[in-house]
Amino acid sequence: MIKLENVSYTYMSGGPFEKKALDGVSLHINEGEFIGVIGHTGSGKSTMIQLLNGLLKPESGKVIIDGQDLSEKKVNIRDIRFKVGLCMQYPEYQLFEETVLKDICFGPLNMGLSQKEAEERAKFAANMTGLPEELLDKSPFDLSGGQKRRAAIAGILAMEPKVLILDEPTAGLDPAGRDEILFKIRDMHKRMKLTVLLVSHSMEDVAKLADRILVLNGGRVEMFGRPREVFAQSARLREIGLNVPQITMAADRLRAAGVDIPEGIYTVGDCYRILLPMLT
Amino acid sequence: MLKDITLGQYFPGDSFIHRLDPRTKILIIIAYVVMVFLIQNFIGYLALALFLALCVAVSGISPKYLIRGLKPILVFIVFTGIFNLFLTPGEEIWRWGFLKITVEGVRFAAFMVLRLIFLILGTSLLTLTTSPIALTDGMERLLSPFKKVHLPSHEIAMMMTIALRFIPTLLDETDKIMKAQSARGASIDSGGIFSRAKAMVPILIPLFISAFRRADELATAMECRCYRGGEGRTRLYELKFGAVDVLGWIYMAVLLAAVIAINMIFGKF
Repeated sequence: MIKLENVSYTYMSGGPFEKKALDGVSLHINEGEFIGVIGHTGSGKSTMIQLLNGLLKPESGKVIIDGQDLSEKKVNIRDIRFKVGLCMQYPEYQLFEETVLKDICFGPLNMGLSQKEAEERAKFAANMTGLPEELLDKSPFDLSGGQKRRAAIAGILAMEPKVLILDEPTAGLDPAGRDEILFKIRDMHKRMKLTVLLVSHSMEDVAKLADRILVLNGGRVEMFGRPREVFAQSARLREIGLNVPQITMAADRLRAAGVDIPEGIYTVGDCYRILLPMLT
Repeated sequence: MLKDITLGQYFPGDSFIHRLDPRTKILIIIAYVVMVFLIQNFIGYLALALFLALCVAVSGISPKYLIRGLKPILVFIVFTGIFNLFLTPGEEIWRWGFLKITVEGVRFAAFMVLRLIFLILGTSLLTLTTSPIALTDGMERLLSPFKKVHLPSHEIAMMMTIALRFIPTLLDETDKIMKAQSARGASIDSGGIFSRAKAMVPILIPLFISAFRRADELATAMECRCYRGGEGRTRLYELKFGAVDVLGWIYMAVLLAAVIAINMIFGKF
């Protein structure tokens, strides 16, 4: 579905503030996968996701989406953007229309859909993200932070992309809002067979949700594997400014203290299932 | 998309130009702007070009970077050139229908284009080598004699500091919003002039909202730190003229004399 071949990208190329953001990244993501992307600030996460829908053009290397090489002239970059829905960080700042419904319709209307179709999709998307229907006629600026975030995500989802990329969709939300959005994302992934890339700073979130985890460090792929494999390398993760989920740390400590507990525990559920029989 | 704008960007360094007192630099740039318009022949511009080239060489700023700053106003320069070329009355040298080129037109067009280029390059060099804070500090000090006639020099300087400080922030923000809307299929750089203007709405509204939000937050933050304006306010870094400044003035005086001399000797071209 998504393929990067030796992709590099440099900001302010040639200038005094030149900064290499991605350096020879190659990876392959299958259709329907849920990928968690983690990395220290400045590791190239945001750059990578912007390459995936053609907002940035790679300096070298190839970005291939659904068999189409984005650097080829005949590829319509707007079609790619409808196929790869990107929800940037703090997406609520992109809201601009008079009503929430109109704002969610912006993407579908740009695709050339009729007003009626766009509204149908918008209502469906709002429902998917858990936005109550009575809010749709309100001004997006009257919503709460979490509702704005959902409206913005719905704006992407209404384009019915095959791939949904979310850059820290829960940043700055309260715990309840965070859990609900993550739950909705998982729901969409399952129900709509979406390929999802979730960029997050929370090890817990990616551990809970992702099929595979991509670890970026200094513009390179540091690790790319199942949560079990990635979180087994806790020393290396700490070295590059990341960590393992807290529950994994707790399990590691218990093991060090002599409790018979296997390695590779990374969700509270796992830990619960193993510890409970021991305690009863 | 917007990364080519160099105006208002500061480029830290420790060159001769960087070490000049901002007041000196402001005075020099004023003299420079006066000269740009004073010069009446191409030899004068040659002298100015040499001066500028020397400044750039000393400043350690890559000329490529400086010239890149001309890109955003290229259209404007070209238009100015074309308008002056065809619309200046005088001795005709070429005619096609209602379009005519005159000797005066050629001369005037060349002058206008040169003036614009020199203005942009000179002022870009100033902002590239002077931090916005230093620049407005210098401005405030230069304007402080006018306090006697109730000119709020501190407030003006503060407003300018804030405005300059937010140029890069708002550019970043614009870039982000443009990307976010493009990701939703907005086509910003295609279509006719009307559809393009319409396409600006999804960018301008979020931008304005965020600018107001930032202004509000900044006002609160300043009030939290008990900001009360200029009266009795001391500063961390006092501006002091040094030996480099004297050198700068001499340098400028020589150039000014040279430009006036060239004007007198060679006259109007």
